[in-house]
Amino acid sequence: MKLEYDVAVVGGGVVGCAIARELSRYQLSVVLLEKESDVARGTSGKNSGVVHTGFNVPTGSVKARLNVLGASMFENLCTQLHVPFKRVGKLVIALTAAEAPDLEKLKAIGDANGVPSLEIIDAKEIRRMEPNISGYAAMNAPTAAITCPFRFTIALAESAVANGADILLGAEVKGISGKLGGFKIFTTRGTVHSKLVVNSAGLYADHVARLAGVRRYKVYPCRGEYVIIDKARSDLIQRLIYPVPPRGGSGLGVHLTPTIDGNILIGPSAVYVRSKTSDGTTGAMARQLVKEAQELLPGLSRRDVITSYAGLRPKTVSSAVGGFDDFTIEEVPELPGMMHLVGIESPGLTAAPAIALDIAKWAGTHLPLLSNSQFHSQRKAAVLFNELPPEKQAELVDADPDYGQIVCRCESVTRKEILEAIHNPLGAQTIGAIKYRSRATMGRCQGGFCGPRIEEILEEETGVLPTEMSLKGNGSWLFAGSTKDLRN
Amino acid sequence: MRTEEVDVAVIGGGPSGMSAAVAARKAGAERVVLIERGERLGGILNQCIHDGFGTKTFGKALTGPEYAQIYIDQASETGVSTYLNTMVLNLTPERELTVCSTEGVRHIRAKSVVLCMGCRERTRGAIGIPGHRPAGVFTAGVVQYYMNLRNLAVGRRVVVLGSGDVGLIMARRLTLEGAQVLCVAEILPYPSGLARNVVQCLEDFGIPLYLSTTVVEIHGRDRITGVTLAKIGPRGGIVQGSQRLVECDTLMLSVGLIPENELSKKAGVSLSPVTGGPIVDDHFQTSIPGIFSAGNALQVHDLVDYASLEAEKAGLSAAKYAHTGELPEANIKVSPGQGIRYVVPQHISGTEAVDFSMRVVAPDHDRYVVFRNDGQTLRRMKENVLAPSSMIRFRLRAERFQQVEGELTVEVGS
Amino acid sequence: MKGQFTCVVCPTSCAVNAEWNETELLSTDHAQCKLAWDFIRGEIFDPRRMVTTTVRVDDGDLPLVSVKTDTPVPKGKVLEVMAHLAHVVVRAPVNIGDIVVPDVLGTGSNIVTTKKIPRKV
Repeated sequence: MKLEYDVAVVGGGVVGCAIARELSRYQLSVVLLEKESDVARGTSGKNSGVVHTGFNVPTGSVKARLNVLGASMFENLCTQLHVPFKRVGKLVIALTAAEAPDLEKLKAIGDANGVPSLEIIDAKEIRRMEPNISGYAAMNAPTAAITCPFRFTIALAESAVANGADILLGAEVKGISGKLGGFKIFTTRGTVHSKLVVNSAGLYADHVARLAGVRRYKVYPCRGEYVIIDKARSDLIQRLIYPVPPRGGSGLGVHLTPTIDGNILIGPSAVYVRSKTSDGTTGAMARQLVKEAQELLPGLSRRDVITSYAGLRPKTVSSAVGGFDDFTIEEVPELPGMMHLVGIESPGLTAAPAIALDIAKWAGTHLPLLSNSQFHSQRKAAVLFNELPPEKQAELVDADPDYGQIVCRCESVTRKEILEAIHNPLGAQTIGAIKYRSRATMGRCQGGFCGPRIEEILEEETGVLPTEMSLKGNGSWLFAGSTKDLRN
Repeated sequence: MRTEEVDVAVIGGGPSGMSAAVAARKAGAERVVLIERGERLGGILNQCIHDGFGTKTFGKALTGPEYAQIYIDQASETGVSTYLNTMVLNLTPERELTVCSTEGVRHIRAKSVVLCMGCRERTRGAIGIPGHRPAGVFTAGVVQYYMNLRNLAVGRRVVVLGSGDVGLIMARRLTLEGAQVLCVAEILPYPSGLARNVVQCLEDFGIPLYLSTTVVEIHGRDRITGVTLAKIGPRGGIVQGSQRLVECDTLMLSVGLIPENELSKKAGVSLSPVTGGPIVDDHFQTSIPGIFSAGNALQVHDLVDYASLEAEKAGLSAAKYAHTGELPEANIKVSPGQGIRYVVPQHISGTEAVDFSMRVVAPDHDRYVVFRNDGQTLRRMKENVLAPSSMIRFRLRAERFQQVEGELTVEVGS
Repeated sequence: MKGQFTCVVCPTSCAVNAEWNETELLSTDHAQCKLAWDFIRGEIFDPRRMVTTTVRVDDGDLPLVSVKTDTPVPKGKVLEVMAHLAHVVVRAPVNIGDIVVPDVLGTGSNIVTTKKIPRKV
């Protein structure tokens, strides 16, 4: 940790990590403070992974500008970071003639926002493009894409670190005092001094603002539950399949989203909850999601479900008010030098690279932005053994036998990938850190086979005792002790 | 890329795989390879340290490792080539395997293949228990692995969901080692495991068994702090007001086994939606010529003895196929009738005796299992006790098939 | 005294009502065969169980070796046997059938290994 930083970024979600990386292009000292055991532990790790085109955001809004700009930057950024990106396209389906005018409305908004290549297609064309889906008509948005949101966030963070930024994990902000040019941030890992502060704390952006004496924000958590479908059914759809957005609702309707790894996501739901830790799943919603998905895809079965998860949207409108609000990205007159990013829900992932540009610009209004000549945009490619042809796999194993040991059977993750995940540049030390970097335990057996093997490798590699291992920090211990000590 | 040519390739080195490989060698197949992803042969038996294995095949109640060692020795004695730490990445309908180990990625071209990949456990995610996703939720097989092979205890106060034999055995194991098993919840109105295990694993230790009960919520965000149990009514819904919180630090799931058939799917093998395993004939040949299946990958077994016996037949047939390139056609369809959930094999040649395996739909007693063809009874067998959790074996001799026309059905009758 | 037992000699698992005094089994009902009698008499007067567990191994390729009692031990002594074995450590290599603890706690039963554990490489 340095004595003083130019910029402290609070919150290691996709926006915070994108900002840290963008700032590391300049001769600025940057620290990112994340309260959990790893980056992407909040909303950034629990969304659909969609790179939106920008037709579903109000024209002229901050959201629209940042969505479209971010979407134009995304593919290139993924290439630099070696993160998977796939332009699968999206169909917004009108199930009946009554919904068809909504498609025209969406297209009009998309056109006005600068979204390329939108077109309205008929039932026959829907069938041709997606044989398992039927609808009255649809809007085709061919530039819509998918990525892996947590790998993207991790890659941004690792790139930032490689370019000189510091990341402190397990550092929860408890207080902020001082002002522009001399902020003092009190964290659970010590006090950080910084000239500027960026509040990208997501669900807790209102709380962090309040810690600095800025009391004008309120974040309302709105839970989105998802169900994950087995890869074996990846043949069901190619594109994102969304229904026409329900009028006046605070959600987007039940979506079908192919993931970059070949699963299908059903969801998310949209239910306001009272607490920012209410991100558990409900049985009722999972059943409802499957049922609604079956209306679009009759071939789907409950047996195809691998698991479910939930994330919380940081909304700035209450359930009483409903609907959507624009992004809040501002520095308030009573506390210059601190930038607040509040309400960065969808299209937050897509917008992240564009938001980062804006924040860098803002930093430049307070500090000189001199180019960091050592900045390298490329990140070392993480190998996904699973996706390579056998000849390439053979080459890898011949060069390094650690590729020859398959640890996670369901996802074909090799020992080498597990080792790289263990020795990650951020120093994240949980089983979760290994999972989100390597995909191990994410398959249909949910760690039944690889779990014990990962534990063994982790113990060998780092010397950590099993009783010290945790799933995701914060007391999520895995083992009570050795079998023979149980009766003590 | 290197390609190895073999006669018979057996995928999976557990009790079924070992039995199939040994049988293939004994039947005269020259080059028989046994491919195992783990560090040693034995499969799940390596962690099943309790006894009761081998009562039918060897007339003794052995522990899992002892039973496994018999086959490990036979594999070695009969000249089976064993590839350990080797994962099969792909299998084509033309019986070309792609395998991966630290020695490299290579192809194996086999004249016949036997699929013995066993099964995996049903997960919390698959049954969709609501709540957070804290640490401390484990399937019973994983608890068993840690406890018996790694000397690691996953927790001290355990709730068990599922009264199948794996869960019951592990409830006892945990208790013997000093953990506290608070209760076993079972969603059905009767225990899924053997009565012997209910007595010796639960009653012996005063562990309560709550029937028609399931876990409806998991509490705790980082490590599990408890579960909500609730009674399930006759139509499958939660009985309102029956919910109660049980504090615990571990939830152990024993909620079903699923045959592991990803490789089978890659090879285009047709699977039965009821068993979860390949559809086979009386030679245990699947829908793809030259590809056979046996053991838990074919159907989940209760007794390892039957898995080994089944695999022996499959290995023998695989050797025959490797030698001659064909087996008798199996055109007589066998279907489950009234009261029978499934029967394996699903079609037969009628040229030799068949040991049918089947399960009933519901518990019953003092009934007959009846084989019928075209309205006539071929053979019937009295069963004093019928339970879905106890596989029934029923042998029909070759002569019985001589007059058969059309389809055979098996049903529960009087 | 009266009580009910589940006979586990065969899968029929008859629920048997029994009556007995201090020294002998007097009657049973609902038993479908004669084997229930001996089983229930055993459960009343001398209940025994096989114990299968693990003991620690030093220097082996696994930290534990599976073991069993070579004959059933009195049911009441099972937990004591378990507590005793928690402190036992053997040294690799281990063969199947090695006696780890002879005549454990005076029960007449030996603790024998059920798995081969070679020395760690």
